[in-house]
Amino acid sequence: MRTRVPEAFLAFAATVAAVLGLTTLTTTGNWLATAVWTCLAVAVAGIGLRRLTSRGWVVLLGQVVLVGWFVIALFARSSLTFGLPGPAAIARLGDLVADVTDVLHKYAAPIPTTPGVEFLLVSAVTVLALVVDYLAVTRNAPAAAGLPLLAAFLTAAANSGSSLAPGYFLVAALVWLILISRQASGSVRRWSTTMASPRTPTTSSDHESEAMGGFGSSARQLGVVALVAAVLLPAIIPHLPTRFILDGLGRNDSAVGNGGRVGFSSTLDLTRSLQDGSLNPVFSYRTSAPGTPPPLRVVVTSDYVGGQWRTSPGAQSSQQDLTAPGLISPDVAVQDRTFAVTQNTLEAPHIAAPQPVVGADFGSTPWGADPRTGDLYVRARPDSYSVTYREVNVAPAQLRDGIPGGASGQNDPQVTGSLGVDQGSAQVVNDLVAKITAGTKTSYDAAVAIQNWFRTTGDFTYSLTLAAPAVDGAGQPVTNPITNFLLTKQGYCVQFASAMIMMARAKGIPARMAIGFLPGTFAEGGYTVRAADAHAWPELYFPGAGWLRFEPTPAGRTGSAPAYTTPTTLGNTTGPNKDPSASVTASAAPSSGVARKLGADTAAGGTISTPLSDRVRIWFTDPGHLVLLALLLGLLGSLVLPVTARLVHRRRRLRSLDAAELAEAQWDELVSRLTDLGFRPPDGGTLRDWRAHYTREAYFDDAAKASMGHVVATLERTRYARPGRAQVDVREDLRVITRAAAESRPRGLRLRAFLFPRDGLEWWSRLTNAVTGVPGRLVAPFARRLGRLGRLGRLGRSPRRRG
Amino acid sequence: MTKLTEHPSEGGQTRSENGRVSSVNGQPTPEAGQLSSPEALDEVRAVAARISDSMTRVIEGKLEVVQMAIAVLLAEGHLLIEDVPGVGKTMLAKSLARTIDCTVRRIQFTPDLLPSDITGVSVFNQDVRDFEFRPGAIFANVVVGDEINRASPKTQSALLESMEEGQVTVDGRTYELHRPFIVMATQNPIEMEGTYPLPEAQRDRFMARISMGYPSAASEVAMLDTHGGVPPLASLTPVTDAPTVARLIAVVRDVWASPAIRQYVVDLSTATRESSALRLGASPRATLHMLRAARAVAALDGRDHVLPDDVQQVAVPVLAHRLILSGEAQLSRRTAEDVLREILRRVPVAATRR
Repeated sequence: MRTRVPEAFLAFAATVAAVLGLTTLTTTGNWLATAVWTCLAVAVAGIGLRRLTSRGWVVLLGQVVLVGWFVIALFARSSLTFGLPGPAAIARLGDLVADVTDVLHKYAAPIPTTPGVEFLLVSAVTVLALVVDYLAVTRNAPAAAGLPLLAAFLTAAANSGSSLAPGYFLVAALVWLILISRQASGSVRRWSTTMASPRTPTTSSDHESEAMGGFGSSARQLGVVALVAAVLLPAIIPHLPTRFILDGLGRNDSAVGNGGRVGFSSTLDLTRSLQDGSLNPVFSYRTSAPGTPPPLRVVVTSDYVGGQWRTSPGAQSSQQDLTAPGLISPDVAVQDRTFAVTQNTLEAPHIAAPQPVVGADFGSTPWGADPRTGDLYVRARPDSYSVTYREVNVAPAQLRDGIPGGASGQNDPQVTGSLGVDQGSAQVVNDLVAKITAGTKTSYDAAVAIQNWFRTTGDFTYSLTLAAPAVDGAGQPVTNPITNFLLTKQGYCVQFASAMIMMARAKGIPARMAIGFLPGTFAEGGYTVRAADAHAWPELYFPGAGWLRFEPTPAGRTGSAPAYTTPTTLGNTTGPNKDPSASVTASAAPSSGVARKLGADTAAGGTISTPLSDRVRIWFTDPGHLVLLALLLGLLGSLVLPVTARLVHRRRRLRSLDAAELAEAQWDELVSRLTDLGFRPPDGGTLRDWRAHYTREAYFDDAAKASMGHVVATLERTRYARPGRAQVDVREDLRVITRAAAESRPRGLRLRAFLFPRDGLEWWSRLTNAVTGVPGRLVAPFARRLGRLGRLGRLGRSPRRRG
Repeated sequence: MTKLTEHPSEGGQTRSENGRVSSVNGQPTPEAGQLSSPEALDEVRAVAARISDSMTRVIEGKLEVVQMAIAVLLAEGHLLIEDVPGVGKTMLAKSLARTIDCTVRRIQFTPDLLPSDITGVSVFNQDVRDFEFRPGAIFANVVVGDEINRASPKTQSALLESMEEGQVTVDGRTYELHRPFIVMATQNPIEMEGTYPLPEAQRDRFMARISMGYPSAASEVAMLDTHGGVPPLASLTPVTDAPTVARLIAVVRDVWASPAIRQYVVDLSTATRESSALRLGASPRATLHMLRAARAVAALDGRDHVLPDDVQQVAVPVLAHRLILSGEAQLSRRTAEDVLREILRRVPVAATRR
């Protein structure tokens, strides 16, 4: 009995099942075999020691000594002196620990299985096995053993960097549940210490097994329902990005296995991305384009409302229609390039790609393209994808002279919608445009002049910190972000792009806002894009050439402007990448110290506004809000039972057809609520007995006594008096009684009575029974039929055939 | 030795009321709610209170016994008062008889009492040259049968059969007894010497059996004070009369017993029949008596409907004397009252869910 052999082996199995997931953390899983042997040693040592002594701590101590020696012998056999660990063995173990530290510093998961790592893992698993064996077998508390098992499982789940297959969880949970059920049924069997022997022969053993079966089946139901729920529920519950919950934990970039993901939509506030000093890649890509690839666009918008850019929410279609390139006239030289992304962490639905895209391959991920803008959207985040985009090599002369046959875009709402100038800054913009574009003959020349003004001649300063609001003629601070930027000449890409768009629009050129990433850093044949590479730029529409990217942000940040925007005839640039006069005062890669006052920035700057859905998502991803939300949900959840009970009572009241049913319903409600408060109903007796019982138990005051008398009298009349009485509502009496009863109870009990009313619990348990009984009910007819078939078959075979 | 004592009707009717009751024997219907109207119930309570006040002046500190006696009177039952000599059995019966202005006869039962002494006899009248019926002692509203278990079984049955049927047949002619009609019999416990214990079938005819019990010390002292001087019964004057009692009986008959109550009464009777501690359970007549007594108790409480509490209150007095304990129960010194109380605890109180 004391040795508990089956329990010991179940604990052993549970330990092994819980650590199976750890194999995903190492390149090879052969350490597991060693760990299984040490766990087995723990179990066997436990069985043997428990046979010798009943003291738990002696057993544990013996196990620690025996298994400790076993582990040391496994890893430092050559250093043992006369079979005992000496200084040499300790030195050997020290070496192993140093090895582990080294490996952990160098590698992220999965880590190579060096002897040190193997030692670490086997030791950890052995300690786990010791704890589980002690709790589950020696102390006979397998439920408590669930915690260390869960810790081991979570270690694997949290560090692997990717989601763990559900099988790991299922196996561990199942073995643990079996362990618990074995302990529980054992303790139920031991409930009675003496066996009752009936005088008359009865089939008591049947009753016992029946009762045990009842316990067992409900326990099994619970276990299975919990397991299934644990596996299925995550499919229903929306996945919040893990980085937000672990925000505080995951800040350390050197942490092993820290794969931070970037949700672009939630960081449309570019300042945050720009200030992001982390070196975690958003994605990596390779492209067939020679030289520096173009920026990678994520979204484009032409709606500027109230100082903010809005992305149109309805644009996410599932059409895979890439017609945007049709705007480009055949006269323009184009070249299709490929662009392949790997290790993409950009949150769905957004996709970064150079535009215009003419072909895309997202594997099995559903995707779509906005027919108006060509923006790509996906349903789920693909790990890797590739697109083909069209490199437009339009010549400056073509743009200046106009491309024959180019679509003017008059019927394209995207083009016509990109002409509105922000009213708040129209005055300043128009004045500046008139000054800057003086002497230009074509739209193209005007656009080039505006870009150059921003990049070079306008004496702008690139900074993530916006200047304090300028003061206008009347002494009032300027509130319009674009005006403010044009006056203070300090800002970052969003301000540059917004201002250029407004100036181009003032000049009659359709212009819109593109948001995405700079090409990133080149290394080992591929590019890596980080959150700090977020960028915004204007796209201007030229008939025949389509939407062309311009680059007003100074070169120190963005590199050279597109080739078609630097006509050599103008002579004010000396070639790509050189922009000598670009005055950049801020550091090219903005350090995290540049600006911290986010609130001030968003107030003063023309930040990119997001549609409602995105804003909701941003709200949800704030850790503080999450805690708030969790609290709110917890509060709501705790109200489920009280509300259910109220509704149950209310439904019965409303459904009662006559005075009798109403009185019965209200009486049941009263009894149920008093029972919740800890006043058990008497067994049997008349209503007056019940009244006396409650009055005595709850120390009712006079008002409550009167109310109780009224309630009982009402019920007596409806039960026993001549039918045909008027309906009496005693709800107010019920309130008086329950309040008086509650006042005599301790606070905790009152809270419990409020939170867990039995009527609510009963309703939910009935619902659960109904739901869990569905499979049984579905199967039952077939089972019956099968049984009938079996009987028929037997009958058929029997010689006495009927009928 | 037969001693017949007649109490002539004493004049002075307490209240003269126009009887609204059309038929005393009319079966109540659920719709006939007028009989047990609040006013009628008030009258029941008032009259009962007067009777009870009068009686408790004589019977000290035995309010429950007095109430039960009044309830049996209103439920048209007969009362068996059983106790050791000298605790006031006869006093109880006579005081109840005295408070009602009606014909009262007292029969002292002795072993040589003849059946014809009770029922009456036809004697040849020389003047009219014909047999003439001379009514026996039973022709009265209230008959007090003292020490009933001292008479021979033959005489006992003569009384008991007329009790049940409400009529007497002598020489082929049937004579109706007076209404209201109540027999209050006293008896000593059967262990006493010189008694003929009543057979089960005859005990069954009594609606209830009550025991006086010894008075409390305080009541006994008070009794010494008041009974020291004048005979106590002499001070009693009638507080009501026979027509009033008949009307009240009609009101009690009209008290509503819901299906749940009827079910409960039957459940209790069934439980006595199925109890392993009892050799003989309650008869259907006992069931009927129990419900009638419960009606009376309800009316005395001013209610026009019976509650399970009423049934529980009357169950022991109504049923206990009809039950015969099994040998095992007798050996374990249980009494019928114990068994009944256990049954009352065990049988669930019926509650209608219509």
